[in-house]
Amino acid sequence: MIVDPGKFRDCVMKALKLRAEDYRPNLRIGDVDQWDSVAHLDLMSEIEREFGVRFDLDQMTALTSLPELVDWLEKAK
Amino acid sequence: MTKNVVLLGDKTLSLLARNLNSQLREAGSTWNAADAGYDSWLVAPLDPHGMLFASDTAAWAFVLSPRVLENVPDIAIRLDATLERLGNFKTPPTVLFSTFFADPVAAMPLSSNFERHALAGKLNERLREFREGHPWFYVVDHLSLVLQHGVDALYDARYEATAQLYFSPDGSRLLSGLWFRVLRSLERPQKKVCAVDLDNTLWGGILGEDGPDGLQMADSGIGSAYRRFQRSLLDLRRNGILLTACSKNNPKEAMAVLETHPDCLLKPNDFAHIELGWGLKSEAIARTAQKLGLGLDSFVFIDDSPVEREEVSRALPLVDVLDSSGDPLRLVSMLNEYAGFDSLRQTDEDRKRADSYRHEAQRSEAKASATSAEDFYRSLGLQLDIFSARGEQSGRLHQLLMKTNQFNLTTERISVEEFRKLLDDPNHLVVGLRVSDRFGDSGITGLAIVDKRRPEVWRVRNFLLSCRVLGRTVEGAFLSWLIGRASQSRAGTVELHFVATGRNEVAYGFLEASGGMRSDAGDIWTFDVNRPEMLPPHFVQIDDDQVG
Repeated sequence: MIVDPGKFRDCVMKALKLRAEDYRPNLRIGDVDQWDSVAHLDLMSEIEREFGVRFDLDQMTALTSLPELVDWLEKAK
Repeated sequence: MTKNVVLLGDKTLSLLARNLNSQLREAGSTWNAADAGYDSWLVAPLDPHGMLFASDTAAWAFVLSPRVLENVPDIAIRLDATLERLGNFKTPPTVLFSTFFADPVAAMPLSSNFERHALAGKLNERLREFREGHPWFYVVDHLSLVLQHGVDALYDARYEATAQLYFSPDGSRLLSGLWFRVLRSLERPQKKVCAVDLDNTLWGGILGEDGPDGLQMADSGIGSAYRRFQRSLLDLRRNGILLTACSKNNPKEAMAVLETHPDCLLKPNDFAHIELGWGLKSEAIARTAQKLGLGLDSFVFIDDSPVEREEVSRALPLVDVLDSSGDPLRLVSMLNEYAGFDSLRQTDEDRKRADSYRHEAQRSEAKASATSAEDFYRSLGLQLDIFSARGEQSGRLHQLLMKTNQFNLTTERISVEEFRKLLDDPNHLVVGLRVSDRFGDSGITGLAIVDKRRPEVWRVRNFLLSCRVLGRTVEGAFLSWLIGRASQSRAGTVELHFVATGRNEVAYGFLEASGGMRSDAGDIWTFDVNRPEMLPPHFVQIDDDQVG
């Protein structure tokens, strides 16, 4: 899948309740206060809804940085 | 000032807390939700040094998943023990308890689910019983949320496996919507009046064009949507919301439909006031508000016409205007989604309210036919019962404190927790007033809060009456009683504090005529108990045996 960077960024910002200035494409869990283990669950759910994908259990816990997530999405379908 | 509601679950509720806090903050609420963690519903109440007993914790919310029915073998005994512990608290917090429901996804659905639903029903019955005697205990209806959206929309096994969550991210959002309404209903006054249009709102069709026989409100076709809406309005009425009609129609013809149309469930007596004519709807609503003695911010208006809705919205910004997008099939769900009528508990007074407005109309007729004002007051047979506020009435009295705008000297709104603390405070006297006359019982309709810290001066923090009992000499009699009581307690003066709000002119007018001494700033009115400027009118019976 080709991942639209704007769509991905909006989706991440919405799920993590991030301000524009806090967003960086290489963010990983724990880098900002807003991305904790609880917000991570909302992020997974939001990405599934926006991009029409489904993570399995291992992916939910392993995909914990934005580059990893983009990689995974690009390889999906 | 924020106050905490602690979420107590059998599973983790961190996502609920996250969603809820973001909704609460956006709405400017003073609530903050904190998750007490996995299995906290059994453990946290036992820890007197834990977060439940912190000074900024105002409410406990038991948010249980269906897993308690499976994982806790002696759930009925555990629930009883929890309720018993709550019942023994001297100053209980506000407690919110979710209803139980069984997970229908089971190994033997045909044979075992019926039993599991029965168990959930039994536990819910226990919650309902406990609620009866405990005004600080509220039940939050998870079961309806599940029936509406289904377990598949609320639960995702992956999140239970990775994070001990029963409610998935999507489920937590739906759950948060419910708990947001619950918490907001505890801090916002409930709307009191539902003003409805008639043509294409109460019934399908236009009376002036289709005639009474062409109106659709029978139990078939699109008429059934209007009929369900009428039933919902009757439900509102049964729960203390006043219904009023506001329609551009020939008055005679529209009244005839309400009186005699066989399919019309709502009858003229169901309405507290009816406005039929050709003028602006905003003016009709303003007249209705004046007639009922209620503020415009108590009003909700429902009309199918965008033009009428826009006119009312612009002219009366305090009125909530509901939009069903012109679709009669959406009328009932529109009411369901609207939070303004939300209330977790109906008091006896709520149930009586609609009738009490009818009694008021009968009083007006008696007044018109009386030869003098005194003759009228005497004929009413007024009875005032004044009582020390105790636990079981605290819900209704706090509701009065939050809702009353017009005859309210200070409009000081305090949380239910602060209010309950005042009831137990020996430095304060909190008395309620119940009013009845030959036309009916108006219920608990008055409240006074007196600060007695300086024994020689009784400082009246608040003195308020529901507008339903004004104009019957009740206000003067209640104040005279208070002055007399101060005198018995050896206080020399009674100070009534006044804060103008722009809506309590009625209360100010009463003070001006009361004979008290006004301070230069007009914020304090002083009464010397040895020179009682006012005496209770002799046609009022006062019973204060229940003042401790």
